[in-house]
Amino acid sequence: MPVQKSSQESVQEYKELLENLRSRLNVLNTSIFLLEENIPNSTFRTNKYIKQINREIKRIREMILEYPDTELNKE
Amino acid sequence: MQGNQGLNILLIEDELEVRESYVDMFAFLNLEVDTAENGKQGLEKLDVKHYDIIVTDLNMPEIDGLETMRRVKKKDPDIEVIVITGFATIENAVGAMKQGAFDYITKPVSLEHVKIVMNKCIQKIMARKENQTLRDTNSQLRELNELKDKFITITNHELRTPLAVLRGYFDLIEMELENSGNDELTEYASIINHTITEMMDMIESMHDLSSFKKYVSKLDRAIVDINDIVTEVTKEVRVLFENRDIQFDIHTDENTLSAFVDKKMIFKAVRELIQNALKYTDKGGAVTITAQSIPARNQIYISVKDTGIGIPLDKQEMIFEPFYEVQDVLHHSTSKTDFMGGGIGVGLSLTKEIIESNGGELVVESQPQHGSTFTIILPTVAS
Repeated sequence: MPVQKSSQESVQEYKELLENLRSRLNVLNTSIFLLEENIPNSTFRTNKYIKQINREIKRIREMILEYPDTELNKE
Repeated sequence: MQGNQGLNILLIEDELEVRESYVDMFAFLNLEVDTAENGKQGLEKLDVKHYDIIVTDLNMPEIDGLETMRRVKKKDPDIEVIVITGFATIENAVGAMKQGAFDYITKPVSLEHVKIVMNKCIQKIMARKENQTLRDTNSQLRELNELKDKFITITNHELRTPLAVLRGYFDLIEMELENSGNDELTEYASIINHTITEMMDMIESMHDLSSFKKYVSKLDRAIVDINDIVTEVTKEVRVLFENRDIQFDIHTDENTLSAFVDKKMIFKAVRELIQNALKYTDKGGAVTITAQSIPARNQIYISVKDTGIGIPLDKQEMIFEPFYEVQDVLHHSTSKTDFMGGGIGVGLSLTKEIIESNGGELVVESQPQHGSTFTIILPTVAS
């Protein structure tokens, strides 16, 4: 059935997009961690900024990793 | 009659001549049937092959038609059973229907009656199958709608906001670290900057589902130095190799490698190949990226070589098919960078599409347990 085929393709395309975003987030997360580890003489301000950045990354991660409760979860 | 329409029919009748006459009758009605001499044989056949309809005589030795039907229904309640009975035992036939038989046929059987009963039965089964197909389609459409809602949510306000906040705080950190003189810090900061920009661009340009395809197919070609692309990609992903304890080497050409391509697309393709190499190479392995000119052919080669698990020869064409994944279920994860991490398998298919749309070619050489080399071949442009 044509509808079935196009909806299947669409679901896969959405998955691909989410996977791409997840992949970028992975790079971001790692780089922030390394940045934090390598900051010499970190100040109150830099610590505060890093903390805020990590908080936002956590929010983004929750958004991207939270799948709808459907067949999408089954891989 | 339209024939079996893909359904399997079994006839159970203990008297040979009667059985053969029924087979001829069904053949006349354009229906193919398998046969069994008794209930026990019929049940044995059911163990080996699925039947959609079973036509059984009621009056048989050992296991009668009624008991046969009970056992059939126990195996699969969706199998339709039609009982054949003599007029004198019509009460048994009615009893059988109360226990789930679809209908009954009285002896002596009339061709017309058999035709009507079989038609009704086949139509009922086909309608049930169609309903199931519709239910499956509905389920997929529901899934798609939920996913669309999710997608609209994350590409609209909800994801833009934290990204904007993240950008803001990161800009502040960059100002604090401006004069640190630390090359490593500068590199990490550059990667972070680039990634945030990329994510924001992705969300902006992929606001609706169809624009993902447009993102791939809309080319913005210009003459670029392939060395620059390779260097940029490798800067971004190097940290992932360090985390996995995999050696990562890059060799660029000392000459400019000019190609007329969409820079963003080729960046994406090279990164996909590198992430693929990372995914299939275990700790302690090595991945080497080489960009070089092949003057004799007026071509540029970008090779990504790994010492990973390799690809069997009979699978080397299939890896470029959408959704094909070489995957070990024991190592399954949703990460694209963990060893044997899971994924939906569209990366190589999309990469191939990107390269071909830029006038290039993607080839692979591989040996199981000895690693793989993926090579992007692009035509050179005279500088």
